[in-house]
Amino acid sequence: MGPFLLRRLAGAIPVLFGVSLLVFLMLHLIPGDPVLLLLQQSGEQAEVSRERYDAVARKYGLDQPLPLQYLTYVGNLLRGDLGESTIRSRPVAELIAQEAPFTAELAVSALAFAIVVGVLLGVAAALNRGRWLDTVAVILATFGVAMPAFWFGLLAIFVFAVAFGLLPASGVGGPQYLVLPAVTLGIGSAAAITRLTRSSLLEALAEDYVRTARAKGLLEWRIVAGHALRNSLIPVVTLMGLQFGALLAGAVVTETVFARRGLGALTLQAVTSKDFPLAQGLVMFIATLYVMVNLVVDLAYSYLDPRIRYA
Amino acid sequence: MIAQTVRRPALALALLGLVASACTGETGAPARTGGPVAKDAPLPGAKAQPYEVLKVVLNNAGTGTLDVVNANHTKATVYAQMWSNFLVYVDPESLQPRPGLAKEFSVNATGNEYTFKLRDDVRFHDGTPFNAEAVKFNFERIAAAKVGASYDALGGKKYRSTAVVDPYTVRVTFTDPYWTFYDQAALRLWFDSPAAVAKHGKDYGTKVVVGTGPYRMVDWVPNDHVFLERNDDYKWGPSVHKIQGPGYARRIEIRGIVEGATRRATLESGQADVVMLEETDVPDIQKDARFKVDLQPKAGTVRQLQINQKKFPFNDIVVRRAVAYAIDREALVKAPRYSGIAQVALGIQGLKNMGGKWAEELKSVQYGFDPARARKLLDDAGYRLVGNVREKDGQKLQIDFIFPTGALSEVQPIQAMLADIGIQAKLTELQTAKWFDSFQKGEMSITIGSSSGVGIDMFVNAFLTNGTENWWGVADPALDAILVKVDGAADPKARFDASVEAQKRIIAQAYGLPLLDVFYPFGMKKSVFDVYYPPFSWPSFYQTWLAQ
Repeated sequence: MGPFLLRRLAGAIPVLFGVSLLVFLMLHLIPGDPVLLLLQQSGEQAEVSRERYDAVARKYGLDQPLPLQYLTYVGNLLRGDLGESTIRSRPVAELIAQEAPFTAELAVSALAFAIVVGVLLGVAAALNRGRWLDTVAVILATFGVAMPAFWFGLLAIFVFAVAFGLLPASGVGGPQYLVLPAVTLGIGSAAAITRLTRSSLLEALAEDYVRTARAKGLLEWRIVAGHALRNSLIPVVTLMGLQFGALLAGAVVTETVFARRGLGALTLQAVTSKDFPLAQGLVMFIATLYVMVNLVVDLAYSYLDPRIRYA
Repeated sequence: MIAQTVRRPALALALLGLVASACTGETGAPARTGGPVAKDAPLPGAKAQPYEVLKVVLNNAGTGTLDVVNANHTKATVYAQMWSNFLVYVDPESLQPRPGLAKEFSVNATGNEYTFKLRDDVRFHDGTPFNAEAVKFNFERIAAAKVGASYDALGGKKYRSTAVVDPYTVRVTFTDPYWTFYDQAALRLWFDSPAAVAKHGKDYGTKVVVGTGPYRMVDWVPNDHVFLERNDDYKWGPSVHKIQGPGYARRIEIRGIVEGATRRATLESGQADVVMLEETDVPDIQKDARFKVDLQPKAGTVRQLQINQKKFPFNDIVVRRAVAYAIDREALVKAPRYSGIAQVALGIQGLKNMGGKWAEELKSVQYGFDPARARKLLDDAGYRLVGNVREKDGQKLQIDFIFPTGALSEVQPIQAMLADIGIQAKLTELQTAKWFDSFQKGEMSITIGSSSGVGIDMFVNAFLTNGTENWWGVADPALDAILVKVDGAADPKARFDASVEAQKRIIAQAYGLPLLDVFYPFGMKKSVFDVYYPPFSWPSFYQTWLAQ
């Protein structure tokens, strides 16, 4: 297990360096002078004095050669320094730390919803192949995959907040504030997990070892839960890792529709206000998170399938 | 001239006394009408009394800082109305300056020296006194920044100094006449506690603000919310408000929600008391017996077509006038974008800035919807129809119509109206900042926009030959001669008349074409009363109460 973990960790390092290079180049690839761009983001659109220009260039290290700037950037990253937001005048790391718990709460709830609903519905569909339950599950999954989150969110607000007054329409607070956003964010993932669980379990149920288990006289639920489902979950776990990225991306829309605080709302703000240090910091943070989640997924494989661990 | 925020909250209003006018007494400035604001009488037996919380939802919560020096977003000014104060306030009905933190104020004969006698009973929320030193401290910080909306409001390069005459008297001087300083002082120049600025350093404005207002800021999360709590020691409310002591709400919670449908849902679900609506939601909310809607005329310039006169075909006045006749502005009001929640604009400046009397005067220069006349103008000038598009001397009447994100539903009907007279408009939607850059460079033929702010002179720099915002190539000495009077005349009536005259000429020459006067729609529960709308349109909830 140790060498496997080390190998996977070593594999993540070049990925993160690649991401850091792309993120660093974001500011420089945009047409125009980066110093003027930063001045504009700070609201300084009037004529800028040479002194002010030089001061901003010095502050952001933009008076240095590009390779040196990158090395400084990486050095700062390793120290946890993601720069300072030009619009909010606060350290980017501080802003991310403030908002991350709200997104984590939302993403974890949405993922939990997606896993529970997706796996249960997928298993139910596979075990009832060709019957009405299977048909319903397939229709729901197709509906969930096809439906845009913003539309579903607005519909949910209308039904549960406006028409029946059961849940709040927006904001953050107790668990009641989390229900609609989590379902909205998680429904697409739930649909994807349902479809994959169904097909994967059907495939597993056709394997020889299942026939052997049945021949041995094992109870059907033990065959499904103890043998087929475990093996069928490997692609599902891969999908969960991928879905985590989708959930972070989807948080931008969901947090906007439900007016929730979080990294999605912060990302939208960074992009719309051209706050490059903040946008760079967020991309770097989310990319790192994504790499880490994939690492965890890889480790989960080795638990689910020992052949991977010893390969 | 076109922007989406309070950029350079423009100058003027016919406000000031002729020479060395004191703060009392009306001047000859024309009265204005406030537009179609819903007026509901309180329920029988209902009376204003303290209550727990007022929940407000706006279209965004603003971002950045609330420090007067660097705050560049509109919402900073909205909040400052509650957590801070201004030296003077402008009465939204008469457009006259009224006492605020200054109990008396005057300006000298040349319009470059203002004297403010301050109240001596005002304290910041941290207990420190508000006095002449505090005014000087704030003004000098703003001046030192050399950029930003507050710097512009303080006169920009015109600002010379602030002198402490005695502990409660200050004198502010400018290098040149600055006749509209009261308007800007009432809009942008609020006061931060000098002690708090020193104590909190970089956190001031982004985490903490300390003012003198009827509410203290207790939580500010940019882009999300602002929570305010009542200042029970408050007793220096300006006379423009119905009360001068502490507000009725113990707490005011203001949230920003970008998505219009969600904003509406917070009102309908009872989660909010006051909500800024989208125009398209207004008819439904108006029909709902639980709610009422205030339609507040937007302060600034009207939605208008800005035409690049440096390029073919708009270097020809005939084409500009043909466009003016081709556009059915009544139809634009009724189109889905505004759903009837707008008015046909008569001038470049909006209702809120100018008033009803002015609107009457401009009726004589309106074009009216007359596509047949537009076609005839083009025919007579040699623009022949070839297929669906006209051309002259081998040049087709094909124009680049750029517009910012979100305006597509507004420009599509205009595109169809232009096509009807043989002008082919190619629509290009640009992200707002890119759009702003693009028209500043004069790359387009035509665009649509408006700006926010107070004063009768917001359009001056866009049409003055050497104006800083004249990106359209307007060069008309006769117009220049009128425009300089809008800012420069000592007599407020002369400035007002010049503003009207200039707008008449702009329309007659079709340098810019006014389309719509738009409104900010605020939906609220029927139990909400006394929302206050200052000249810059965005509400203050200091005096707002809920009928129990």
